[in-house]
Amino acid sequence: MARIDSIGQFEQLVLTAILSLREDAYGVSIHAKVQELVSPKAVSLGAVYVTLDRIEDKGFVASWLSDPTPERGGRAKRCYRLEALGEQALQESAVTAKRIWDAITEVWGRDAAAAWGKRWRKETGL
Amino acid sequence: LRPIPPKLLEEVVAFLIPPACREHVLGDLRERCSSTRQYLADALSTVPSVILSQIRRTTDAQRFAMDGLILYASFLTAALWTEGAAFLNASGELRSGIAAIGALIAFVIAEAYVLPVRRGPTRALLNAVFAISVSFLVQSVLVVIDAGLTVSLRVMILGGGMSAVLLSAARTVFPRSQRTFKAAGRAVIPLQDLGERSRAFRKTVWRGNINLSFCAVLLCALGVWSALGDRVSDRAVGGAIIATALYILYQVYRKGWTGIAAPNTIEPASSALYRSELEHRRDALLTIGSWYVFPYLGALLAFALRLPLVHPERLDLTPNIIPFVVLSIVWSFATKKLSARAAKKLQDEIDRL
Repeated sequence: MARIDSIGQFEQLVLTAILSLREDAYGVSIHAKVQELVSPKAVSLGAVYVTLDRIEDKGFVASWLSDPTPERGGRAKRCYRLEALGEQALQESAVTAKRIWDAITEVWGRDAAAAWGKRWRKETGL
Repeated sequence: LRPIPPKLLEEVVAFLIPPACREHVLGDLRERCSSTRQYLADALSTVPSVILSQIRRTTDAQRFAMDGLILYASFLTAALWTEGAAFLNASGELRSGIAAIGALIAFVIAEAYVLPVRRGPTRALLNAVFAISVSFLVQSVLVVIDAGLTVSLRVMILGGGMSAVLLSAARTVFPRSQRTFKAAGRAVIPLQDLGERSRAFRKTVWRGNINLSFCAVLLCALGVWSALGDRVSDRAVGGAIIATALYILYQVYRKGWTGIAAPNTIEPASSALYRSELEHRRDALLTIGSWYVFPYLGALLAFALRLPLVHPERLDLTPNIIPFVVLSIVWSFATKKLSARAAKKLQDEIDRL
């Protein structure tokens, strides 16, 4: 089994945003989705571009330019889609996150973890 | 009506964004524009990031170290040529380093502003000339602040000319190859793709071998220069450096050139042949420290330490060799790390066969 490059937390967020946006994944929409995921923290558009370049170099995503649109001043969008390697990396991250959650639940107990999750959802508005 | 940013502001932002990402970044900024102030804030936070990202994509650690060494060695050689040993008596290495740093930063930034389709010898030479011009500008500002930190006009012209030719040649001969193995880790490679992948792999390997051989020839030139000195210690160090360079060239031939066919070789697509070539290259990259990097570093350090050996009466000059030593060590570890990374990617490719 081939090993893949490890990914950081922000890369996980950007990959998740691309996955959930499907065909509509481009700079502005990815930034909005990442912002929603990390709320109430703020994320700059520049940080999203840097991460998109890095994960593209790693082979996790592929990109192409769409047709220009008038609301963008006649400029094209760079659209992104997940590659097989990106899906694999995201799956591994999700499994790790699940293990962390299970470990927390085991120590704090299911009720405490549920209460903590409820409070977190209320604070973040998710 | 959607708010649009002032035309002049948009043109300034377009000028600052590297061409490779200008189209979509400008479009995104325009789409997000709700007021001029918000557009400006967005642009200020985005432009530095996209420039840095583009620099990372066009200049890796190895290339950065190579460009730095070329610039530094060019200015130092020019200074020693025109002013002789007297140059070393007045923080010569430090002054050469300052001249090189200005040019290095300008060159790296200029390279980030080149579209991949426009890369070529002319563009590389233009960027090198631009970098040297920036270095001239830095020197003219330094003359006003502290003239003791500058090099003479003759050194700037000679060193600048030499480094412009060498920099453009190095960037043309060893272009940054990225995404060569980006598909690694996916499903098994289809048989019909083997021929194309094998040819691309051989091209990459041949370029890498030319890179390694060129650096060994440069080391040999340093050795010859040192061996032509008047003092015995100079000649002894020069002889040792030449011997190391020849050993490295032999190892590049043995580990690099043999075992992998020429890129234009035509033969039926064979998984076994491709695998053996990949394994040969992977093993060479994994052991590059013993047959290339550390002998090379040893020779560079010997060249640097030659200074206190040749001028034992002026030990106060010894700190001047620090920039050269630091650059040499950085280059060595960058080469080792990049080789290990490349070997890992080759292993991924082998796993897919």
